[in-house]
Amino acid sequence: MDFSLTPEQESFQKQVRQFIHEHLTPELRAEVEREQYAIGPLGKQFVRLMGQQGWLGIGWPREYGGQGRGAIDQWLFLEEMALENLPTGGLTLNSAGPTLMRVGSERQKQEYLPRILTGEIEFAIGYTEPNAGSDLASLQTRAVREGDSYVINGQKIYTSAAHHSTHIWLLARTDPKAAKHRGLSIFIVPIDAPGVTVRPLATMGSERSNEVFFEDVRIPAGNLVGEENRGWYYVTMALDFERLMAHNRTRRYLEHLMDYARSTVVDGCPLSRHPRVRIALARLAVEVEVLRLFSLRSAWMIECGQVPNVEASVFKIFMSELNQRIAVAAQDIMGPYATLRAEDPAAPIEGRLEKLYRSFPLYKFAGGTNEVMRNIIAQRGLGMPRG
Amino acid sequence: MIDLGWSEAQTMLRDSARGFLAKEAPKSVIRRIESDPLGYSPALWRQMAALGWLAMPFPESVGGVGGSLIDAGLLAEELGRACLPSPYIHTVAAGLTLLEAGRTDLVAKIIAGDLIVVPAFSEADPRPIPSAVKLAMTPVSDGYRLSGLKRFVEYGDAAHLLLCSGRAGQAGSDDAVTLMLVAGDAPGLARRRLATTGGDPAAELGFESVLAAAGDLVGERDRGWPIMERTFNRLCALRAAEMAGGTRQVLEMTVEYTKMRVQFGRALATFQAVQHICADMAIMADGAELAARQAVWAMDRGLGGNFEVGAAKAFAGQAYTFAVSNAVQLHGGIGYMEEYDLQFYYRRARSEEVMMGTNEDHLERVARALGL
Repeated sequence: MDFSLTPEQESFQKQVRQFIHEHLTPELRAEVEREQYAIGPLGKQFVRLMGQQGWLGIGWPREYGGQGRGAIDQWLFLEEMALENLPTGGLTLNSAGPTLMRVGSERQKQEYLPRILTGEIEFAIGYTEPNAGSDLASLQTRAVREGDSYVINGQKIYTSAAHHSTHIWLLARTDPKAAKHRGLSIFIVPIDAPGVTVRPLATMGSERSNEVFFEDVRIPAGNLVGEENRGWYYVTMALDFERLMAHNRTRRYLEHLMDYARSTVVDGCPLSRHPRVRIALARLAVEVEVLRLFSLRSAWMIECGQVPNVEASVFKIFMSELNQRIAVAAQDIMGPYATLRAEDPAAPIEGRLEKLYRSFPLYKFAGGTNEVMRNIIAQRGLGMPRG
Repeated sequence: MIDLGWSEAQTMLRDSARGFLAKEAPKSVIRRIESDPLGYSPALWRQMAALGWLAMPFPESVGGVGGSLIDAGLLAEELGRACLPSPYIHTVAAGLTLLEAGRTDLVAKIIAGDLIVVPAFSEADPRPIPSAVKLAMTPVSDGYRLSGLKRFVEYGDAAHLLLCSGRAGQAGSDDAVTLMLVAGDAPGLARRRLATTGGDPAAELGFESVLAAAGDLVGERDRGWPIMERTFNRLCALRAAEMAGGTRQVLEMTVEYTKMRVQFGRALATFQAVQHICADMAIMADGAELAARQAVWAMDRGLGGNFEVGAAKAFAGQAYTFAVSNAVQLHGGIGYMEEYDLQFYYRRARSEEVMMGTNEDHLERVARALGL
């Protein structure tokens, strides 16, 4: 039993901090706050810089140009980036890339993998449809083989990265007669292919999301990933590459709230000295610590060659609901100041906790709803039967 | 190097401890212990000593097995699972303090199973802060005379030896605490078992001119607070481990019951409403376990531990009471019956949550550690 890092891990952590310290300009900081999960021009530059440093592929095997670092190093890297809300390449690196390594063709590996590592290529994940959310396998976008091409028709929604990506990592139906999980395939679709239309969706959390329409989009048959009708299998396999999750975004929200409490004087003493506020903050700090342990546990399991399946669900539920508790506590502690948006000159902490209230619902349903996550914990973790 | 798992030897220790407790400490035995004035089983205590549990955290140089506090934490988890009332964590925490104070004579007796020592820190104001320590320790020619009251001292009426906090100075600062060993049968000491929810043997100790020899001082006079805090942190880290074990056990009992219990023609466990409550219990159980293990590790490493222990005690307390109240709900009527095992955990969870510092007391310690 040991909760401490090795000296090598500590020095790597310092190196990442130093890199961030050198390259995080006030302009980039302003952009990441504005764009949230999207990546603006400065963010793209930053991602390329990380590519040059070799850090986009810190966890990738060396044969594909990565650094082959262990899961703990990767986790430390993600944590440092999350603390500053910086982009890390997301699902392109953690989901699409590793899937290509396993099942992609030689040509696909050569064409995409090196350019993913330099930050030139980014995939938007095209899974969800208007009628296929938690029940993803019921999706209806069709891909029909015609000679050396596939022709795609249909619609995706909440394709959050579509407006800044180069390609769509598309899940579409290739066999409408097969059982719903068995007729799906994965395709790589260039975002600028004729017939692809990206339409913006605005969220109440001020994020940009998108709808993507496919109208007789013709792509070469070579853009099929792996085998036809094996798409569902690849998607679930890819989920196992995405188990590494950082907790520092959540920690950051709490630190903002603590800063506010330390610097706001009420009745002659800082709010942080008022028992009600202290206890509320300490309770959240304990929960953030538990969240850190959950994320550490996943990293450690991956380091040991295990797949933290149930454990990732535990993290995800706890993280998303803790974000909610922090947002609500912020309102209790800040009162009407918690309602001031970033653009208001009187807004404390750049309106970040105001924004959290508008955006926390996202965390609870995105990436698998918490209800589905609880089913996973109960059924896979506790061995309770499917209803 | 990050390693959140038990070693091979620890896994064996865990399995053998679980087997031992299942065989020797079933609920029939616990029922008997709860109604016994001693509040623990001397027979089981001797067996635990024979198994080497009491030697666990002590170095070989004093007759220990050179294990660690982490091994004691593992055993605490198993004791929590079994819900066995036992002064194990108390004696381990106090024993390590005696070891540091050079009292190897007493440590040898602890290892042999002949000596139960418990920390007696809590008073009428049970908060774990130096200003709550009031017991008067008046210097006299041959030692100290102790007068005052201790309350909510677990196993205080059965212990052979009490590690007492008090004040030997005139006024001084809050931190000017003195630690003293007092025999359980010292003249002038009146011990009374409190009637509590948990049935765990917390006691009230009345000191009326109890004489302690100068040699019974632990550490230096007026400089006992850091020692008291370290003892308290070790104790609370082990308590968090006990609570984490209890939480896990209650979850497992509930999952098993809902799989077996059929209503509307199907097992309760197939209902999503039931599954989601169990999932939430599992999240809390996982968190309690990780936080408790980190706290025990921090104390084993000799770190200050105020943050880790405060976090673990508060979170494990919350997890345990969350688990038991949902467990009783999912069991329905049977879980409420005195003859059913769940009620032991339900009562114990609440007692353990509020003894040795309430959640809020520990959150206040966390707030301080964070510099709030």
